[in-house]
Amino acid sequence: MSPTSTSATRRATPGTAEPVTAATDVVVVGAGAAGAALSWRLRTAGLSVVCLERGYWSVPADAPQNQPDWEGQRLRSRSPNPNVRCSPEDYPVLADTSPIQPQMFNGVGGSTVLWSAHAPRFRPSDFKVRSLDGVGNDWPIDYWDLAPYYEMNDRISGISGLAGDPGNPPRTPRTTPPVPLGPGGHKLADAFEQLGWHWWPTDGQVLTRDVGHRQACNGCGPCELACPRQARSSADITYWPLAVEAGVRLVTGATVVGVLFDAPDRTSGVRWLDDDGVEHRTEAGTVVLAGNGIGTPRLLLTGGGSTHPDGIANSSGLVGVGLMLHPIAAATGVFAEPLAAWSGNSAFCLLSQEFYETDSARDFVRGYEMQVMRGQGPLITALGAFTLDIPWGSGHHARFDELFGRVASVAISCEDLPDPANRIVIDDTARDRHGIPAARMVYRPDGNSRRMIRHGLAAARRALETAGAVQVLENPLLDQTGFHLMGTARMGNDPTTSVVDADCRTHDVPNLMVVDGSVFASSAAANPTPTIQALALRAADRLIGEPGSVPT
Amino acid sequence: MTAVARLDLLAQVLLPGDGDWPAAGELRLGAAMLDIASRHRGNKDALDAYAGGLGAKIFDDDGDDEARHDAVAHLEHNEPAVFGLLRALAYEAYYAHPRVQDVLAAHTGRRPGPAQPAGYPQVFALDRAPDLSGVRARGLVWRDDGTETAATVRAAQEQDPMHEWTEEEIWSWRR
Repeated sequence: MSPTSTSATRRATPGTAEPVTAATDVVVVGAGAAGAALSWRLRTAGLSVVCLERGYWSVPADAPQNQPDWEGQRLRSRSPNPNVRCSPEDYPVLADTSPIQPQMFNGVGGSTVLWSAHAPRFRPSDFKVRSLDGVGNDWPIDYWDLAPYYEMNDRISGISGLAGDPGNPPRTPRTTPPVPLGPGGHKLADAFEQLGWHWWPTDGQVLTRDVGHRQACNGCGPCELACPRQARSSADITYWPLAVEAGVRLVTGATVVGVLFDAPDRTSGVRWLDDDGVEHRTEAGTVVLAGNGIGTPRLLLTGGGSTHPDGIANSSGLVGVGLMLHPIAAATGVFAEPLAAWSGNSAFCLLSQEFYETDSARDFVRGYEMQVMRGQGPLITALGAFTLDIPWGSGHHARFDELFGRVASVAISCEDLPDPANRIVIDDTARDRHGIPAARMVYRPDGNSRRMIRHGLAAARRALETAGAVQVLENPLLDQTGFHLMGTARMGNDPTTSVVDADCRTHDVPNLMVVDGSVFASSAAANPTPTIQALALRAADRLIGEPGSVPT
Repeated sequence: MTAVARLDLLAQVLLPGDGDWPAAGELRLGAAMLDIASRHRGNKDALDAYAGGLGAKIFDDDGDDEARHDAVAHLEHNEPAVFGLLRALAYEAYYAHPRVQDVLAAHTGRRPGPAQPAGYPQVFALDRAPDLSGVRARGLVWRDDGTETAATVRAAQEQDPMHEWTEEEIWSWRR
């Protein structure tokens, strides 16, 4: 029996009507971006894989954009904030201790179901921030280890863009051409050019040509609601069909509540509850956690029972510690002429990484990227979007006319340095539907981030004014932006200062792995999903043994 | 006064109309707001609070426009969460109304209705290829991480910026 839900339409995975409890080589917890990629990769190498997902399938054809209340659904059932969405499969994430609110989706495809599909890669320096700049943590791997897996992920997911960006190492030709810059994007591109700043059409997992059964983007706007044309990639339409066809057993409505052990340093599987609260056990040679930067530490801290009162794989004391987000500010330029800014994918069209790297002349270390975004639909515009100030009452309509369709925004996405005070902790003042305590997000941006934001807003204003904006509106910290959840089970070589090793195995329990954003040793300033998926693919290869040739 | 009538009044205060923008009061949005609220528990709770007393406190039958405006401003100041939800309900009902969609289309050229299935493909049809010659001419700007691979790749990229890299070539970069 499935629970009533206000969320996306659901269905069970074909061929998995019965709960899977038989022993398997690998059990994966979470069917999001990382769990999908790793499951597919392991299964194609011949391992038996069971994936347990607390949520359900979404059906692309049921996307809000086809419905009259398409914008309003973002405020309710399609909100990326689980505390707003309140679907039965969600767990509470208490966040009155953070100015940035949690954003995620629990279901097949994970948060890629509600993402905007902006897909830049990390840069080589992002993996060596301690060596190069004396801050944060180096990764035990480098960009060059991941580069082939970025490529593999691009090929499976499908990506639009343009190879040849001088701001990044080379990559293969993209699946389809980039999304159109549109009138606002061209204005900003011209401005960046006048200023002599780096810019480039953005890599995005939004296809601009028909590819197989996936239709080309038709510019409807809000990718983050879903994509009925399947132009926008999400793990449920890219990796999962391949993985299920290959034989991965994906079980929905399966909430993992505990990790089993047959020795202090050896897991034997997981314990999980179905929709009716009935307990099941799945035995496995390897357990892989892929529950995102909040869900994974929550399970590690609650799932060990009396044998692990301080948490699983937590001898370092770092599980949940060092949460990194991307503090994001935005500047919106208002233009005198119409830009049809409601058309085209709203979240990105071009990217400037002019201020991405450390410059000793600035008052902050590391840097930020500037992501050019379009406008929103009428309802979100009226409600203020990122920065707009539209009064209610007699001034509403005139101000709406000035703004709707006439804006372009620059989002400033800042690298976040790890701060041990920023963390995920367990808070039993709230519980999920199975009685498991909530996670609490304790977070504040540090002084480095605040100085970076100040610099970024000034740079964005300069770009927008150069582009011809007649007014620039600023928001120094967007609150509904806690979607990049990183660093809460950090990767490193030293078991006393990290939770997992270079291959994503926990130091304390080698057959227990973590493959989501939790393992990031640094946050970079770029969106993390391609890096999460590349890491998961690499972790799969390290588990099965290195392939000797380019994998298919 | 019924809950629907109170919502009609609230919407009218928020969206009084201007030029060809219709006044919310003409559109009788209260019932639509109730319908929208019924789709989500959080909205329903706020609306119940409003209908159960809050609305009666700020709108009475004898209130004039100025008093109603002041009452809504008071609600915004003292109950920002409830006000935010009620405003979102009113705006959603208003901007989804066919008459409002027609005005929006007349003002902007935006096709009325849901974003799909038609989309807004003109953003593709009217676009032009970006001129990247300037940014290319400024050369490589990614930072060397000090590895031998970085030096090798940078040299190759500088020598032939237009080279079409293959997955096989990139696979060879691994340590």
